[in-house]
Amino acid sequence: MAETIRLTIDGRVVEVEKGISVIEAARKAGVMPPHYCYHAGLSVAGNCRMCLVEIEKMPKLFTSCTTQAAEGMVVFTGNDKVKKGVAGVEEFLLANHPLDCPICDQAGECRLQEYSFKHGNAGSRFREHRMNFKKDVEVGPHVVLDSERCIMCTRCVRFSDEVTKTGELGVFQRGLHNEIGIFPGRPLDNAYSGNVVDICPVGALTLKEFRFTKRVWFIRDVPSVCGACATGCNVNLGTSENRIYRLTPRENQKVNGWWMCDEGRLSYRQPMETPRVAGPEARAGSSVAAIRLPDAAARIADRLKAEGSHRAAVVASANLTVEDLWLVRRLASEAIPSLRVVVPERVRGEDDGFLIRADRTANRKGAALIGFGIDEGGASTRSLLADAASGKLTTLLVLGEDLATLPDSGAALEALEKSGGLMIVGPFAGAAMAASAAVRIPAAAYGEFEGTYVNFKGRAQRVRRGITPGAAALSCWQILSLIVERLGVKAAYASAAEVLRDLAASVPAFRGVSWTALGASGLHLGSGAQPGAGFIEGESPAPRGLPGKEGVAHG
Amino acid sequence: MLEKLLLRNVGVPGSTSLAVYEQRGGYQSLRKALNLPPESIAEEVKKSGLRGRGGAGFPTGLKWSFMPKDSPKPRYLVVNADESEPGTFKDRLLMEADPHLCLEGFLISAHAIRAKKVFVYIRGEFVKSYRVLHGAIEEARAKGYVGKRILGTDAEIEIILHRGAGAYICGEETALMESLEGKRGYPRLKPPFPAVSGLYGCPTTINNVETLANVPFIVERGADWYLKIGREKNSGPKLYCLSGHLKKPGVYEAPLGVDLMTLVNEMGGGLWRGDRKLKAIIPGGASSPVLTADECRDVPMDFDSLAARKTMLGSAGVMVLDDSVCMVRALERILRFFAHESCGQCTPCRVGSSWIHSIVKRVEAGAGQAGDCETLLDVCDNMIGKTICVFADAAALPAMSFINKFRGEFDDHIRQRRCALPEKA
Repeated sequence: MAETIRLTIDGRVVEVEKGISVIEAARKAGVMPPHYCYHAGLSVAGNCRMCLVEIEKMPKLFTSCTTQAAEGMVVFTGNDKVKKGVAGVEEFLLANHPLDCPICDQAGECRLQEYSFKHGNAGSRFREHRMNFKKDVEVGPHVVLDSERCIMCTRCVRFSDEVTKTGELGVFQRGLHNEIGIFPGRPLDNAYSGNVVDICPVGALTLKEFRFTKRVWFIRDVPSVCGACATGCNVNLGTSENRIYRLTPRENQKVNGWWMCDEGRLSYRQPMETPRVAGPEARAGSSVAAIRLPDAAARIADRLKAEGSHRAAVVASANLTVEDLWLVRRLASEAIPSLRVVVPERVRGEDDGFLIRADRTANRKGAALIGFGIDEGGASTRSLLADAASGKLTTLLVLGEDLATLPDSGAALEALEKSGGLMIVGPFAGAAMAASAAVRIPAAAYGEFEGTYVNFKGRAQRVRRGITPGAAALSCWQILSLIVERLGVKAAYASAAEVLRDLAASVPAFRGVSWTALGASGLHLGSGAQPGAGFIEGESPAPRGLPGKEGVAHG
Repeated sequence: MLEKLLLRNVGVPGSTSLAVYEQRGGYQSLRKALNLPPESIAEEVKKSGLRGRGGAGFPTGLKWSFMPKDSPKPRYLVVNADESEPGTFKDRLLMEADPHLCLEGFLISAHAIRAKKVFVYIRGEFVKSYRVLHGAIEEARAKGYVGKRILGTDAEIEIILHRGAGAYICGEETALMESLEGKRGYPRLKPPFPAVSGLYGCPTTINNVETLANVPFIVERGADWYLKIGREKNSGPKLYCLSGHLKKPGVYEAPLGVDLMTLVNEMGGGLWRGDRKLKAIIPGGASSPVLTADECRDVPMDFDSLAARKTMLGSAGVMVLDDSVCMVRALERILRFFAHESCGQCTPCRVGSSWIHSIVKRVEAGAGQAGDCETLLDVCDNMIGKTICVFADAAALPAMSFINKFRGEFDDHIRQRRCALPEKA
């Protein structure tokens, strides 16, 4: 236990860890002072001057972010002196603000609006000319800057200096002419650039992909995790009217801190931008016709049964949830014992030492715990494709994967098309694979299903449904349960939660895991299934940033 | 006539040359100091009561004593030669006319704090100061006063000159260090103070040029002698920069605590024209609150006496204003400077400095409105004491003093929509 001190904040005695700032102590006391520049994930700049507090026996007000809490300190966060100081700072910040809230994307989640409401004055005494800046400057592929709205808190500059250590952003000019900017020919183009939009407390930095698409007060945030790689960054799915408008990082100090990468941030767009099938389809000769779901499931089940484990196999994606994979397990052990299951590896690039993993699957660890070790190096995948090409395999059920993107899959697809044994269950299939399929059942895509992922560290986390799939596609586990039941195995579940319960009762690694136990921030498997348990031995906290030399100079 | 110390070589032909400086006794204090333990020099300076001449008047010996005794890091002496306070031109004179006195002060002080490197941050516009100081350093190096094994001892001190790029804020000690490190000139959060983490994160002492120019005399003649000059807790000689409506503006040396009107009338020769009356004096550079003519009687020009009068000695830039001066216009001119020079790091200063300038400019131009003075005073109040450095105070305090002490002129401007003063040359 770290050494603690006791101080009084607004009359309340709080005990806090020694060495923390007054603002953090105040947060613990439940009276977080208003602030713009302070961010727990960045160095302390102390420039906005909004978090002023009075400290007993001190003549001046102090910024609580720059002041260390001390034993016996008596702090006031809201007395008249503090109120005047804070209102004064808020007035300064609004003096040159364009007040273009009606067309500002930040409106509704803007600190200027919130603090103006809480700490500001009703009228304005500012009768002078406002500063003017160019209002839409593209500083990078995803980020647009409006300097008129900027309050110069430098959070974005510190992010690019300290977290990505790429240093693209700097403060230019002087005084009231101060402006955030980039250096000539050096755009804000790094893998994490979108985070500056999240931490911008005002509407100065907006995300190109989100701006002008939705008023934020219509957006409902659904807490979930990202599925774009094995890190499993905690996110909010920003949804409205059955559409995802944005993904934003959700703080989890055991996974992603406050951040997420741009690729993950924009991953919600794939389901919207990829053509989807309206419902189950079956091929008859050269034409494709819609069929009923039970019929489609029956055709898959019957074909698997007819060909048996010698001539049939399953290719399952490591992006399936543990619930989906539990049904695969039951299919391959109870319904068709010894059915061959291959989980292809999906790697790209290298681990970046921060949040991006070369492993682009969300649930490799979950698959392994259920008994489907990923096909590292691709030997099993190659032999499976070779067997399909040679006719040894006549039937392949593909779950959430695209065979066409696997190396040397052309001959296999051709052979399977001829034998009429390619069956696809998944949200979308590449055109090449889809054209060869005998039966195809669309499934829910990311953002459309409930389930559980296990990240690379072994943390089980809930992935949530933000929207209902347009074509009433079911989750993969639901489709699989129809197939498994058709094969005479009882596998009717009312919900993904029920699947997880069954899994938890059957696989020791998942003992005690339930959605309740997972909570908002997940659970490290092996931590005794204690929700909210502290770090377990060997579990590392979220990295603070990209590795690299510390302290890139402010531009 | 009092013995001149700081200005003793000024006006002497060839005063910038090493030969003349040595002839007049120069570098004897360095020779003496190098044979003394550094701590004893620091102790003598502490005893002398020398206070910083840059503006704040902080005791120099005390500042030196903050340097950690056992840090494994290099220790630096930084010389603040970024003299930028409007109405101040004393360091420039010292550097231009007596560079070796400056150097001797730098070298002894570096020895006293055990620093092997001295960084001199010199105002970019001071081209002549830079050239003269640069030449002096080369001359001194050739003679063995700078570099390794100084005067045959183990002492090693290198002097590095660095020219600023024209920002007033870089005279603030931590902004200066940021700038020296190649970064944007933004004042740093304190603590940590420079003695703990200064230039390049190393223990650093930063002193003004004039402050260090006092040190050779203290070493030569001792603290007891030094204490006899000036007043209690305000010891030593001081350079006063007289400007404005005077017959003889210029830099004058007098003991700390010299009477303000003695300075003005005897040294500055009095007002420039017989038909003008004294209206006000800004005693310590543009950032010091103004004194009305009435308040100028019996003012000892030292740190504590001026603080007691709610203004400050600052950089001792004494600006004399006669009765032809429109105080609204004078304030507008001062605030234009501060609005231009605010670094913009802290909200109250970035916005406030410009805001109060805009209001005063509007009032001066005849577009003032009822309530402008109240707004000005309140905005100033919202600036004071709420920023990382004291720049905001430096802009707001003089503004408040002008408005409070010459309120009638501001009200007249607002009411009559023009200046009430007759046009004067």
